[in-house]
Amino acid sequence: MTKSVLLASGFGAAEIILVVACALIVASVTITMIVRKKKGKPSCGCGDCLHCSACCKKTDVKEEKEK
Amino acid sequence: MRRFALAGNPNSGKTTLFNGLTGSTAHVGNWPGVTVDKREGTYKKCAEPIAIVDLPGIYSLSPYTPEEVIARNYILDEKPDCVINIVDATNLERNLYLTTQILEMDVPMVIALNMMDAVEKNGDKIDANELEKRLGVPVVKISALRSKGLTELMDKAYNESKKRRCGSSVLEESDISHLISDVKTALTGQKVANPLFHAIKLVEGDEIEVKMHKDVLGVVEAFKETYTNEIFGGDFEALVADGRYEYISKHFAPVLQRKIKEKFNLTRSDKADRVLTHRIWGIPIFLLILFAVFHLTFSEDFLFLGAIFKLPELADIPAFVTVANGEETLTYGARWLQCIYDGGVMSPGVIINNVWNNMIVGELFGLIQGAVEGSGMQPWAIGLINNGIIDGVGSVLSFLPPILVLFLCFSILEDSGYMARIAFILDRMFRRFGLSGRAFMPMIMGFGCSVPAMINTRTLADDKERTATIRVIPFFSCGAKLPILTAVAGAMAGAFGVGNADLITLAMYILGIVVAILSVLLMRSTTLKGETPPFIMELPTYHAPQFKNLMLHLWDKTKHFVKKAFTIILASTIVIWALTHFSFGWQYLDDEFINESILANIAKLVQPLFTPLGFGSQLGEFGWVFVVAAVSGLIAKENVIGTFSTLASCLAAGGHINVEGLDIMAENGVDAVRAMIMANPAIIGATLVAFIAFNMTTIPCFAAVGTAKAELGDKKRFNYTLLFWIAVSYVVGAMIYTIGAWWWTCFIWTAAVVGVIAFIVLRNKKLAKKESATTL
Repeated sequence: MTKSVLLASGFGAAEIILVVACALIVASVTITMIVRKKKGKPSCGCGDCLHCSACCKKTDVKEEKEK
Repeated sequence: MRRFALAGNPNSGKTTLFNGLTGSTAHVGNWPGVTVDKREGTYKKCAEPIAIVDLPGIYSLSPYTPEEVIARNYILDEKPDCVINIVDATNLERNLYLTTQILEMDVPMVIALNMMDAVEKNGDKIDANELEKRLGVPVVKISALRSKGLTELMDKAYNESKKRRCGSSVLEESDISHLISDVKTALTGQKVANPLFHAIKLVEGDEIEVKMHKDVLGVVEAFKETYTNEIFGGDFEALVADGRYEYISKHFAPVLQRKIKEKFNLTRSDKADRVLTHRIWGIPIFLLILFAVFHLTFSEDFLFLGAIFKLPELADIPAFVTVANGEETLTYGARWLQCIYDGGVMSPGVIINNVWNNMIVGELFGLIQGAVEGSGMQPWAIGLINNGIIDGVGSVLSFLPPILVLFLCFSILEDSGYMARIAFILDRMFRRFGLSGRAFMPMIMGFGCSVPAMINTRTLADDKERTATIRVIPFFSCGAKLPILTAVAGAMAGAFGVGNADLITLAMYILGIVVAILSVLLMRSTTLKGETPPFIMELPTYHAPQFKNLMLHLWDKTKHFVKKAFTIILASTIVIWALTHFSFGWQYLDDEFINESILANIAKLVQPLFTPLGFGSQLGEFGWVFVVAAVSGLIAKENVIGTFSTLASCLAAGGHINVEGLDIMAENGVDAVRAMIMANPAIIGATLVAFIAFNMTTIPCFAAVGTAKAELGDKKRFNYTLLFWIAVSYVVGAMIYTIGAWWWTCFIWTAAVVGVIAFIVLRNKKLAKKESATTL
């Protein structure tokens, strides 16, 4: 039913795949950023992380602070 | 799993050894203080896997700096199975000072005599067997850089880790040995672990120990009352330090046999420092080196050969021109040649950039875009892929070459040891503004990324100095801001014929540094007043940059940049495209109607706020593009240009802007900005400079904001920091635009600046008077 409505409104298989892929990309990037933030890992993605170990740190920042 | 800790003086090669043992690629900097936190890796070549912990570089185990606290707490609390003490064999006596303190702990240890290759090169000799006998712990000669002696070191460390070791002290011959023994006995009675170490620290008057062992303090105080030393009086910390050094020079130093030199010769490093760190010439040389870096990366007229010899452009040479469909175009061969020469020889950075963009990214994405257009998909889907995703992501990817070339140059400067000299040169200048040269280290890191730079401020002991440094770090233009600088500067040079892209980019970097200095001056004279801490730094010797190091750094940069383009930037361009193609009623809008979209309507609401900065209401219909680009930069700064390209492509597809002669459909960020400039006559040079300045000094990306919040700790201080960033960017942007548009406003700004300075000076004088009155 959903498929026929979409097809009728000009959505072919390629368009449906495109929309789903875009939605997945946006959702996964957003969720990853939120999860990383909660873990205390910055998502700077600068490639300069060799100067620090913050983005691959396994210990929780909160734990560290409590210590 | 057994855990071994690597401890040693700053710049003694701990991280190089860590990388050699674990196969890790942790950053090795030729300056002290690169490692501010401990990091872990695994060594797999022993009988069992061993966790290796790289501790920050320290000179002692007294809690003076955060690094010393981290290292001390780790050894005392986490109890590693063995401590590998890395000793810089070229500076044996000084490095053994820390060794004497680790020896006092009840922990198995091995000494790694590092940089033995340098010792041998100097013609000196160290009797490791004799040193081993005198220290009572195994000593292994190694060269971490050349991976020599690492297996033997780890085997010995593994064997030692199976044994128990009781702490030993070199202070047994000193006057206070009885006192130490008494305190140790008292602590042993209380079942305190590492009693010898704690006893000596208590005698020294160590703040932490005094708080921890108040009950034993009486023994020390009673002794202190009856004892005086002719030289040190009652300063027991100095007495203990002197005792250590005396023992080292008497018992350990003789193991080093120095080659007898006929006369005192300066080393190559010393000779280089005579010029590079010169009192007067140091700063001009630094600026010259900085210019050379930018000239190598961005100049389209390398060494100004085109301007000097008035070289012709390729289009002016008939042999390179062909006529197709009545239009004159360059031949295919000339297009390749254009990557290297076009009226001037291109700099290496520009050559790589041209080859990458014109011949690789341009061609590849052009092919994909052509295929998408011929796929028969709906026009909106074609628009989303071509104008949204490919142009957005492609325009960001197009800046990979200049970023890599620039960071290669910075890495060379860092690895050679010159970056450490910059901190030394600038210390005198920074001190006047209330910061020590030590604060400049994280600022240098800020050129790479604000996140590690902010984390590195942990090395600053003074809280106010640290806050001021964190606040100004984003003004040091990071790699992510480079696309903004390059694209807008390139577009400015192309559209207005003003200057060269390399000079504009360099000027913007210097502008960031100047804004940082002025901001520090302002903060340190008002809200963050305080003493400037002394700055003592050991200058590393110059050495040729390690090829492996440079390549690892570049590889990481590339990997993360491409990853970011295909994650955060990709997701952002999809969202931007969607928000510009839907109305508030969720009706799909064709490119012709994007001015009615959700994003355009929201941006138009805030657009007037940017009028004083030159990209507000005066830009009229499509001025909102600048606002959206600036705001999207909060997610990641590369987004500014990604958004520009997506929106310019959509506007061009909708027939709103003229892109004739430009290459915006080929993912060219520079041409996307040029298209926007051509579309709006209200855009002047000052608008673009103000736009760059605003983006450089405003709130950094989410990642940096999160790090600032974590590092500042205090919520109120963090909120003030956000306000500070907004205020500075707004004032700087407005100043640049208004002076650029109406030169006479410089008098108003000067009066305002003088007024602020006068207010601060008068206020400080009043406060000082009040303070002195209270003291009296």
